[in-house]
Amino acid sequence: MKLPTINLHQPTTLAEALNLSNTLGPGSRFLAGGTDLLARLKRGAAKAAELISLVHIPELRQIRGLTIGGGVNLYSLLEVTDLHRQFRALSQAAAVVAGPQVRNQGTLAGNLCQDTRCLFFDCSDGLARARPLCLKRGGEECLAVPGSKKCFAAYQGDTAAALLALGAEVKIEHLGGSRRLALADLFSGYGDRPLSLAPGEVLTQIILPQPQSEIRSGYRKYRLRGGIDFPLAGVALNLVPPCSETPQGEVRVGLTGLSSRPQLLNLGGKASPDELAEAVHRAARPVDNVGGQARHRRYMACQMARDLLEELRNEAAD
Amino acid sequence: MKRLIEIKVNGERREAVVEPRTTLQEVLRDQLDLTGVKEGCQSGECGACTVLLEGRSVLSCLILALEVGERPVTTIEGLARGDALHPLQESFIEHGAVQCGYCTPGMILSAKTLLDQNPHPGSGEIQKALEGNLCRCTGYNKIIEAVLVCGEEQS
Repeated sequence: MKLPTINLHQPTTLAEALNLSNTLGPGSRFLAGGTDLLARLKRGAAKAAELISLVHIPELRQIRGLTIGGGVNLYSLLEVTDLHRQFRALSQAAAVVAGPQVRNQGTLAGNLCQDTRCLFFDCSDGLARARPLCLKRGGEECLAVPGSKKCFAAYQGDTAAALLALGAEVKIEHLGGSRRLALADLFSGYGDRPLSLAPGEVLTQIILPQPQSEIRSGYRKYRLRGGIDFPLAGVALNLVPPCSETPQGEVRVGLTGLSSRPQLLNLGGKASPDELAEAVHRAARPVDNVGGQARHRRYMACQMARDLLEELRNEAAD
Repeated sequence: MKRLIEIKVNGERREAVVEPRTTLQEVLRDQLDLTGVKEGCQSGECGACTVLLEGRSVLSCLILALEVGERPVTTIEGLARGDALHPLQESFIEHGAVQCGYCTPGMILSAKTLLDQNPHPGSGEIQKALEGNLCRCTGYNKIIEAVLVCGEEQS
């Protein structure tokens, strides 16, 4: 399976990369670790004639305090001292992304910006063309939810759920400016165009919140095999201790694999496991499009949330 | 447009002519005759094309050859020293961890990444380190045993 013909640009500064993107226009894509984009280009599930590599830009690979460069690969992220102690949900999520080779190549920004997946879209070009094209490939209707004019492709990034629960922000840069937004605003909710990034914009930094001494967080993932697979359901929890604004504290919940965007739920700090499971059940709306049964994925999300909450609270009591 | 590049592979500088879309795997197999780099799924799911880039396992089917630059590449052909096989290669033979052999180069290179960092891993750590390499013959037990014993013998 060969890649289609492409042009590759290899800028060494971010300014150069943004200039290139502006000049080359919407037919260009940024390329980081390549584990998502190159595989999709081979399958015909993404199109790009011009690739702008971000691999040779040192500033994107820097970690300064709580600010992580978008080009930091997942392996390097897992090597960060204190990551597991202070941001356990992120360390647990990054550690179960795909397999070791992908974690050695794939970047944190790339993991966040991965495209959505669906058995009808994210398959070989030959298989996709052996039946009517799905909406995301340019067809008339969604094949996972027949008759629908909306794309239901699932967002399956692990680290997004963890970073949502932890309250991370992201920095987006474009030629001549930048904006900083809550991670939730990076995602559009549309299966066929899951990111809210405009052409020419690139995610350059992930900004973690100041860790609090009592923060307890974790991530649980349901997948068919113990390795490699994307989450059929993923749940991150963050127990935020009481403060003046939220005297009861908060339970922040990040969900992935259950909708076209990663979802953030906020519950009161005293939410019971049953209340949490009920909230997850209401929020999760999977359809049968990424393997496993949708109802089972939803059930597993509720179960994982309940178990994780009990585990984190027991740990807090120890 | 084709370009002439130099790749540092197995301790030597080698030249190749590549297009922007040429992957590292295609260069290693088709131009440099390093056919220990296997062609499997071509989409990052099987691990048969695993090589070491700066000492860490990566999927050569999902890396553009032009992106490698000065970073050293190691393939399975680069592990032996003359006629002396690498201890992992010896251990795979000794423990019958090879059947059809197609996954073996990738398995050994993933195992090397692990042993270089953690010389005496437990079987759980080995399983985790090899989860990106699929084998359709052995059932994995003999592979894990081969790495486990190799780690123990190095102590």
